[in-house]
Amino acid sequence: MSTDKVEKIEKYDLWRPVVRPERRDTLENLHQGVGLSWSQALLESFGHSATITCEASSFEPFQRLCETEQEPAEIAAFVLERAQAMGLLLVSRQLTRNLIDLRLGGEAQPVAQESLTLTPLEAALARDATASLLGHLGQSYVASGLGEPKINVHANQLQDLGVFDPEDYVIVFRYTISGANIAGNIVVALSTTVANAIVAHSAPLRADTQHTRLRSQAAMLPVETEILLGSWTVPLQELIELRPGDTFPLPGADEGVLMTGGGRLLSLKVDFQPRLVKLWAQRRFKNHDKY
Amino acid sequence: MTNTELVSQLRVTMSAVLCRLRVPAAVLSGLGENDCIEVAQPADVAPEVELKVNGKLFARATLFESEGSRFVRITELVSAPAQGGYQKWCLVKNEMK
Repeated sequence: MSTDKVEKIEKYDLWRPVVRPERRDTLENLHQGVGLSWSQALLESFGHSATITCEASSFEPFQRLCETEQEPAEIAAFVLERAQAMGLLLVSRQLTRNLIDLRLGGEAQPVAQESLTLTPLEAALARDATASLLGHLGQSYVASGLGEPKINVHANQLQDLGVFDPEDYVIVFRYTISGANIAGNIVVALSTTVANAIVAHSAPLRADTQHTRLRSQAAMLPVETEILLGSWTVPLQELIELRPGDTFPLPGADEGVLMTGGGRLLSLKVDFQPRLVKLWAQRRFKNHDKY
Repeated sequence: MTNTELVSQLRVTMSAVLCRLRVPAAVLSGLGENDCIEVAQPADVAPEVELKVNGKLFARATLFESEGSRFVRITELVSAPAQGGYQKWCLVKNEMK
């Protein structure tokens, strides 16, 4: 008999909630999409093509999640009021450190153990980075009818959150990052009530949008757009010193972006002519990300 | 950390906005590759852009091109942000599709 692979046998709790397979699949697909959205945001914000992948999902008591994730991390607990569910987003300290480096205009570097502690400024940037990741997660939740996540507490240890009891079951999605020297992991955990909400909310929404008359009226609604020629980061000091008459180059030669609602919709080629600006549609962005 | 050090570490996002348009949702969703939106510009005047910092209007500038690159020259720093209006446009569909 082979003893190479020994399956761990776990005690089955009789009070363990049941998540139907089709709802579990919907949730998994949703969170796979979130990984893509985060990867795209990393590429567009910092020009680094790191891949964030949803590696695994599980259904476990909160206590077990606390035992697995014991290192200090950036954690935001949130409420999905529409779905009447709670959740949390955990960003490992290593990934946080890499994101801070990128936000400060540097390159992501391997993190030494002693540099895992953060200064107050770094802590603020870390919180901002977490909020940005949560923003992308929120967009997917809104699109799937779960509603917008509202942060109610930040912490660095799961035990300090106080939003789940140790025996509460949570649905956990674990993400890993690879590429561009960026390392670390992200964990999203949701209370089991979310599994009921995801189907209940999406069904009537689909029925409404299939109504022909409503659809044609919606199609004629004017959408406010902006044509963005470029975007870049500058040190605050440089900004303060800008004066009328100062000249500086724009990034990109003839590119532009059509923005709607603060997100990128379409890339453009911008051609200036004497009485006309021609905006040539190029490629559509897969994720209508906040910018 | 002193205030000067703090300020020197902070970075903000600047963006250059050429214009604002109101476009029906149907037109936006139907835009295909190489469809063209034409925006009218006054003759003999350098195109104007708005410079925004973290999404808020910060300055107005004129746009010019030199050696294949685009440059902006700041004309006015804006203390009381008020965005400009929407510009006229028309759609020219790509006939080659």
